[in-house]
Parts: sequence; structure tokens; C-alpha cells
Amino acid sequence: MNKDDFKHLKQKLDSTIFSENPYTQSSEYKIIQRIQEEQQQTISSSSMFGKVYKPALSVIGMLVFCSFLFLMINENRHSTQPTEQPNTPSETPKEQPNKPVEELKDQDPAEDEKKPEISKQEIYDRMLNASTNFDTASGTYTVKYPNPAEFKIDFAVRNGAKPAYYVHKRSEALNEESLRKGKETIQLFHEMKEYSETQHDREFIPHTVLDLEYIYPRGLAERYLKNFDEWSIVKQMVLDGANSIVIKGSFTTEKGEKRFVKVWAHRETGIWLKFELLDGERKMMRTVEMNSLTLNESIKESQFTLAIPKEYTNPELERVESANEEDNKKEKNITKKEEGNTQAEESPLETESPDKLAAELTNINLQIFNPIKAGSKEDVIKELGEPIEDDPGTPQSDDLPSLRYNQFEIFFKGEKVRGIILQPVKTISENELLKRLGKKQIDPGGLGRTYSYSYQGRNFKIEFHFRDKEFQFIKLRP
Amino acid sequence: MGEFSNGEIELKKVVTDNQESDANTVIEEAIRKYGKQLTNFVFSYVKDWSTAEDVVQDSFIKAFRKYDSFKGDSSLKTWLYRIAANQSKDYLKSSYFKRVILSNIISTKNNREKSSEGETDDDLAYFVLKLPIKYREVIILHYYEELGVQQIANLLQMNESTIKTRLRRARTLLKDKLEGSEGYYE
Repeated sequence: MNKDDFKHLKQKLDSTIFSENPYTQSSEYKIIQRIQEEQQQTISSSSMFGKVYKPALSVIGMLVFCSFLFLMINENRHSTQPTEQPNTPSETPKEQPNKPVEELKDQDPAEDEKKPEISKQEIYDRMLNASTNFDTASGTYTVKYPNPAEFKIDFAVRNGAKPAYYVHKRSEALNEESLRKGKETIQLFHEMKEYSETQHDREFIPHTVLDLEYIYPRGLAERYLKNFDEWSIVKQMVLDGANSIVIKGSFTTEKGEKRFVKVWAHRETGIWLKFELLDGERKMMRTVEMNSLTLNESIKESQFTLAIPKEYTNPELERVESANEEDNKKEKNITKKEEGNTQAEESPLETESPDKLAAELTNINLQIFNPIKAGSKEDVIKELGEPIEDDPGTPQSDDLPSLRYNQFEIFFKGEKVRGIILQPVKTISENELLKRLGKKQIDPGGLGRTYSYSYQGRNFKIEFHFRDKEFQFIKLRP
Repeated sequence: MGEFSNGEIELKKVVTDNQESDANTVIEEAIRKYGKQLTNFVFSYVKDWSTAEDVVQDSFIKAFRKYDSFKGDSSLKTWLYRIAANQSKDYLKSSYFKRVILSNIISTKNNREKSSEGETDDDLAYFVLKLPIKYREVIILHYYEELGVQQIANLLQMNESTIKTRLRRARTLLKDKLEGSEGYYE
């Protein structure tokens, strides 16, 4: 081996190990979506704001302190020299640099100036428990960001014994749309003419569905209105025919940045009809507006369809189909060999124990090892045998055995406890696998495929990682 | 060698020239530009594609959160790689949750066929992945990402002399493994 071998290492890695890199446009979309969720959840600001705001905050702080000092000195003067200016009127209060939100000029049109008749606690509780305040809701709302992404969301939800939800989200700026029906999501990426279909594990928990957070505003209320000292009910008004409670407030983010919020909450249900989030300079960060809302009428589920155009492709599916074709070819060969010898055995329909299935496929007895339980080096050695060699290069946790997973090597505080390899395992067709797993969901992703399924009342995930279309290794995640 | 690609220079220019560029725009562009490469880089640590995807996702989220603190001392790509390297190491440190361990020791037979020349592309690539992390990361950064010693030192926040020593040691280890290889696994 000489230096030239290293020069070609890039090509070698690209043509071997890295050729299996599963990163696609759909991966990009997932990350971008997570960032958008993050943005909504943590109200992260754009980068430059903090740099401008922090010095300004210091200046404001100094001004407040100086005003305070000035007042103290003056007061002291008055008390020590009461006769100097006996007829001076009491000093007008100085304008506070941090104007409270309640003093902001309200620009709501057509306001009904009724006195608020609802307490903070009452409206807050309604937001937290919105799902108990209506049976069904459907309509459309728009979310706008300054960047200038804009999303239009059609929704229909049903609470109660048979909960259901439908969300159709569109973004012209991103040229994408998605339709979520319960646990199923279809995404269309118009620019690339691609689509993806996803099955979600999560049961319907209303306030955890991101695109329904204004309908079930529990998360929003806990985020922005948890501290009752930071917001006030400023008025009650009729907004597009709905009784709404107008709330204004401000809070400081974890980064120390000021934010202002204004909420129009539906008085009867707690649903957020309108929402504005402003940064410390009162620049708009997000606006949400309910364009239409219908409560307690039967929802039109049929309107929530999203046809996948014929010319659109699913990159994940194409990969699976090509693997299946290989499977079928192999199956045909096996069947030919077995013809005339034995009758074909029916695959059992019952869901199998994950340990048993994995053991059969790998020809190896599996056991689930929990290093948290086996917390000491002695425990690990007792379980898995004496260490073989050191590996100082692997980062180690100070107090827990850390496992180097891919090659099934186990390390504990720098010492390799056991080195194990897994040879290519028994081949099984996708169809047979699905039969044996029973109720399953496929979570396609990357080189491996994850099947979620239930066994004896517990949820398991079994991951199959492929190399040359054979299982390289199996990971069970109870 | 020594400079990131032209794409990186363009991106940095966007950041510095346009003060209004917010984290969203820059990180989104970086996702599109570096996502795939970064997944390879992270894979070299975690050796599992689905984990690599998760770690890359977390790295971009972290970059988005910490974008305010990115001063532009290094290039955006170097900064992202630093985050990803740290995230990968954190993952390896904290991966103490339940794992399935095979209880049988399997024979150390190397199933892969060798070419007539003895060594295959597979061999070298797999041996790189088998190196201890401190050697593996410098090899990947130097020969795959084509970074110079100074840039690797900046990325990993170490002395240049340490990087040079590790590169030398990594090359020796790989050479030994390939020449005296009795099999892929010990």
C-alpha cells in the first residue's frame, strides 16, 4: 500500500460504503420541516436581531437606572429642602422606556367595547382543554412568516369517541403540499415531481399535531401565556362573527430577547382565531389568521383528497420495488428446487416474538442486554465475557458502558468487552416478512427498513439493514 | 487541498453581504448544499445510515438554534462539520439505551472475496471505518473532505501537531491492517 491509495480513498469510499447514503430531497424536506416546527416551538429569532437588540437593551437598562437615580435624588431634595418650591405641582411621571403592551395603540376595526367578563384563568383553561369545548371544527387558516413563506391550511377535526383529523397544507413559496389523514401523510414535491407517503406511529393527541395547534392551542397557551403576569385581557370583540377575547402580552425568550404576542381567542372554545407574534422591535415574526371556521357541523371528509399525479415518483418506493423484484427472483428459484419434494408450508399468521424471528434469521441466539441495568464493568463482563483489547479512540461515557453498535462490539470505559461479527443472514422475502410480523407499519428510511408492530401488547420495532440485498444486521427496539 | 469547495465561498458571501439573511435562509441552503456530504461524514462516526440521518438532522437543528453565535470566524461548512462531529461523539457517548447484543461469538472468517491483487476497494473503505474514531475522523476529513491539517485542527479544535501525528498513525494502522490482514474483524 502506498500514498496513492489514500489519494483515491475518496473514490473508494464513494464507490463502496458511501454509495449507500440514503440522503434524498425528502431528507432535506424533513429537516426543513423540523426547523419550521422548532421555530414555532421555541420562537427562535433571526440571527441579526440579537446582535442589535442586546446593546439596545443595555442602553434602555441604563436609562431606567438613571431615571430611578434621578427620582431618588429629587425625592431626597424635596424631603430635605421642603420650603424651596412649595407650590410646584407634582412631577409628571417620566415615560418608561419599556412601554407595557397594554399602552400600545390598538388598531382593531369594528371593536365592541364591552368590559371583559371572563377571567384569565377561564380563557386559559379553555385553551388548554379546547378538545372538550366542541365536537367538530372545520375551516381554513393562513400562517405567514416574513421570509416570505406562507402556508394555507384546510382542516377538519372531530373530537369524542371517534376522533379524526384531516389537514391539507399548501405552500406556494415552497411549491409543496401535504395531506394528513389520521396516521397517514402524503407529501407532494411539485418542483421535483416526487411524492412520499408516511405512516405515523403516534395516536391522535389533538394538541400535539403541529398543524392543528391553533385549533387545540394547549401548547401555544403553555408557551406564551403560562405566566399570567405577562399578559392581560384587553377587550372583548366580535371578530368575523365570533366572540373573541383579545389578549396582549410580552415575554422574554431563553436567549433574553423580548417578544410581543397578541391573541384573539374564541371565547366559547379557546380556539385561536388570530395570532400575532412580534419581535422586540415590534416587527412581525408570524401572523396567523382563521379565514373560516365552522363548529359542530358534520365534517366533509371527502374534500380531503390529494391525488398523486401519474408522472410523480416516490424515490423510496422505487428502491423497495427493485429490492422486491430481486426477492421474487430468488423465491422463484427456491420454489423450482423444492417442487415435488415437499408441500409448501404456510407461513404462520400470528405475530412472532421479535427475539425468535431475529434469532431465526440470523441463526444466532439473541438476548436483550441493557447496559443501564448492567451498570458496572463487572456486570458487563459477567454478561458478555472478558475484554479482548483496548480501544482508546472510541469516546466513552464516564459512568456507563458505551456500545459500539455497528459491528456489535461492546466497549466499556475504553475496553472492548467483546467483539462479535454478524455474517449475512437468512434471506426472507418482504412478503413473507410482512406475514410473519402481522400488524405492521413500515417506516422506510435509509439503508434499513423499520417495521413497527405489536407483540403481546408491547410495541416493538425491528430494523433490517441490507447489504447486497441480504440482511447485514438486525436491531430490535422495544 | 485545504479549501472547501467554491460553493462554500459563495454561501459565506451571502451571509456577510446580506445582513438581512436570516438563519432560515442560510441553514436551508446549507441543508440542500451539504446535507448529503454531512451524512457521509456522520456515518463515518456512527456507522449506521438511519442514525446518521438522525444525527445530521439534529446537527442542522442545533446550527439553526445557535446561528446567532456563528461569528463567521470559520466557514459555515467548517462550523457545520464541527457541530456534526460533536453531535456524533455525543451520540456515541450516550448510546446506552437498550441494544440487542448477539451473545454468541461468531467465527472471524472474512466472507468477502478478495480481488486478484489481494486488496479491494471494500477492504480499504471498511478498514477506515474500523479505525478508532480519533484516527478515522482525521482520515475522513483529510482524504475524503480534502481538508488541510490547519483546517482539521480548526474544525476539531486541536493542535496542528496532534492532527499530523494522528494522520501519520492512522496511515500506519491502515497499512498494517491491509498488509497483514487476516480478516476484516479481529
